[in-house]
Amino acid sequence: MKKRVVITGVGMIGDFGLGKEDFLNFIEGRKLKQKITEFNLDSYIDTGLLRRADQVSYFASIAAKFALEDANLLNGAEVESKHKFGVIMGTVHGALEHTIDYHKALVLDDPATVSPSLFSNSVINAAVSCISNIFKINGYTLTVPGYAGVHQAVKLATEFINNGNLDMCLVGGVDINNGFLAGAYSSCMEDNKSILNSFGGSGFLVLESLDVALRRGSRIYAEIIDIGITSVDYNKMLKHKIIPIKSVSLQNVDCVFTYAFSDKDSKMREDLLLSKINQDKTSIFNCSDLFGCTFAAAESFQVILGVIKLSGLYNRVLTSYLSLTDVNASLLLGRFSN
Amino acid sequence: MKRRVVISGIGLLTPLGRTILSHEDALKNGRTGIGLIKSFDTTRYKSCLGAEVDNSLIDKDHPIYVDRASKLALTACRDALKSAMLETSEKNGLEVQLILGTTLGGMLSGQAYHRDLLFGVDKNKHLGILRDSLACHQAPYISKKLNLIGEVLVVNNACASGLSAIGCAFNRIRTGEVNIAIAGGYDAFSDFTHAGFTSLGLVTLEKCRPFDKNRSGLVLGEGAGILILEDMTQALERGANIFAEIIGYGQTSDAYHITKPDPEARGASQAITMAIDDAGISSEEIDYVNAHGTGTIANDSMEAKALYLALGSYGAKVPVSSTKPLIGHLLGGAGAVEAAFSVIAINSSIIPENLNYQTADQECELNIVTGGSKNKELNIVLSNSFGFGGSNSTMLIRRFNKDYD
Repeated sequence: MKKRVVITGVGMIGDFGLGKEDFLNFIEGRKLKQKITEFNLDSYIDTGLLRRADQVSYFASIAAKFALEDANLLNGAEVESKHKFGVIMGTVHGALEHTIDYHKALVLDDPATVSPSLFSNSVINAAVSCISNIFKINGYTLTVPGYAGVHQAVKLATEFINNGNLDMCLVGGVDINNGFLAGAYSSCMEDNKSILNSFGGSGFLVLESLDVALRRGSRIYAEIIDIGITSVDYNKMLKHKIIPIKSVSLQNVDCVFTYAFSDKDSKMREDLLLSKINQDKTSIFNCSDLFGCTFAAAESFQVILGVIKLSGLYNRVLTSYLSLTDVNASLLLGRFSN
Repeated sequence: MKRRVVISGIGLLTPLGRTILSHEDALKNGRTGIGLIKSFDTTRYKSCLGAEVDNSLIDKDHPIYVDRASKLALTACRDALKSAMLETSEKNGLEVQLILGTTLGGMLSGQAYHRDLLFGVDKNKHLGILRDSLACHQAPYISKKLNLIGEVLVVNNACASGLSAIGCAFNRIRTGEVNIAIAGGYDAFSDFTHAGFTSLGLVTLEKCRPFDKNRSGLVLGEGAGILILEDMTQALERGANIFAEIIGYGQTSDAYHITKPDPEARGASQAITMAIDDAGISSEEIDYVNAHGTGTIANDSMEAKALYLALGSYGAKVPVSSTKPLIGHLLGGAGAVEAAFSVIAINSSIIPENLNYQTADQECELNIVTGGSKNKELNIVLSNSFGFGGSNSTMLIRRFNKDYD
């Protein structure tokens, strides 16, 4: 029998600031105390463990730390089996700054003089390795490079917990924008200004098996009911009648948090999905406007927003992420009831 | 009850060739695909050895901007589907999940873009190239080319990415999430990776000799290994040719260092133990270990320790060899190609030689296969794949017999 999976912690860092309070203030339109670029990140994490790491590793590690704190898993809280605790993270661009610096160094300098740490910290799984090393997480570690990498990470973690491979898992996403990206995406997006205006960041959640969460006396935000992911374009969606979530009628969802890229196909797929929803009784939040084009950072914030809003207001929340490369991801969250 | 998962198709594109027969021949006769690097100028590097895929073997029906990594992986995917007797066409899509592992994605495109930029070429000229360099762009391209209908998932677990992807597919089929998956790994050779591994002091200037006392490092390579994984009942019903069965999988993280493996081998041994427990077999039932065996000092002594810890005294008896002296280290492709080698070893009843091994190392007191490949009927093979950041994946593959419990 499948184990039930619940969410017991959230942590985030981004344009809005740092932690749950700043995030909620940003959502509610209140003035922020300070922006992320003004923070001294070193005061939030042991920088010795992140020596020469790329910014994405810093951001991801800090968001992961906040999520672990929120789930009461720091400060001596025991995990029953250290090999049953994992970390899975989505990202589109990974350690882009270090990758660019490494390319530059290789072209302009003698390869023999290039710092080895520049290479090792530019690989895609560097951030997950940092989190695993810092928080001594010994179970499944995976990075999911993809436009719906966070939803796919949530799906993998849920499967591993469902099957008993893991008891708990840190799941999240990270991406940081830089000047390269606006140009790189200009040919396929109708509006790429949001790339220039958004910095990005990282968000993490703690997923747990319900048994473990109850045993630990965890505060439970939400339960994962279903996750659906397809990789088909608008025409295939129409032809094959594909909707990512199958188990529950979309008519029974209280609130939908949508995110669509600003390319034509993603928007058409979003319209198609929304047409299946009873818009008279379902609230709809547009997360693309809220979080800008910050790839896995925006996707992680979208999921976290769904989790936080659900615990206060709704019974069933759907996050719907429609993106480049024909990715359609949906996560159905339910208010926890024993 | 968990479903049984079989391998019903294999696609290989490596420095040893493109067919199962060419790989079987190389494993049997110790033929290596390592040679002088041809794809870039090596005068700035101490090492000039690499294992590259012959360009004439790669399918050529691609737009000009498509990265070599996509081409390698797509070619192997097509061969895997063909060997599984599964057809796709523009008209009829195939309902299947595509789960691929890669370490570096389209790194050659990334290099080209950044170099153009540094030398003042108009960056707008190559905007698509930067996107194509991302690790999440090869699999969707392949899915579109093959007209697949289903989730496309890319996983990165450093050099264990290929086996981790197969592990994900194995879990999904076993639990009924999906009936069939195309799973494996790939990576293309680039001076970025050659320089990176060289800067870490991991690339040898001479022969790659895993587990040897005088080992001095690895040789990088490129290629793709793709398996078709399928629910056994479905495979039997459609009359598929079943190559082997996957019976267990284990995955852990060292939580030790961003590049170095844990010298105490706690994570790696735990992954092996997990796979054995998952399969419900005893250690002594393992007939051969296809080792990760990179030829680096740290990996090989760690792996030997992991085998002692997980297998007990049998760790010193079970035949062990690394096939990396034949193909180099294929990074994201390594675990998948080596899983396919394990299947070939089972079906052709050969234990491949650990090429170039000369001097025993007391830190690696294993039963290393030397003096040519050995003929032996194999029932169960353990395939290890480890990577940067302490990523450990390990899989147990068994000769197929539908009457097993």
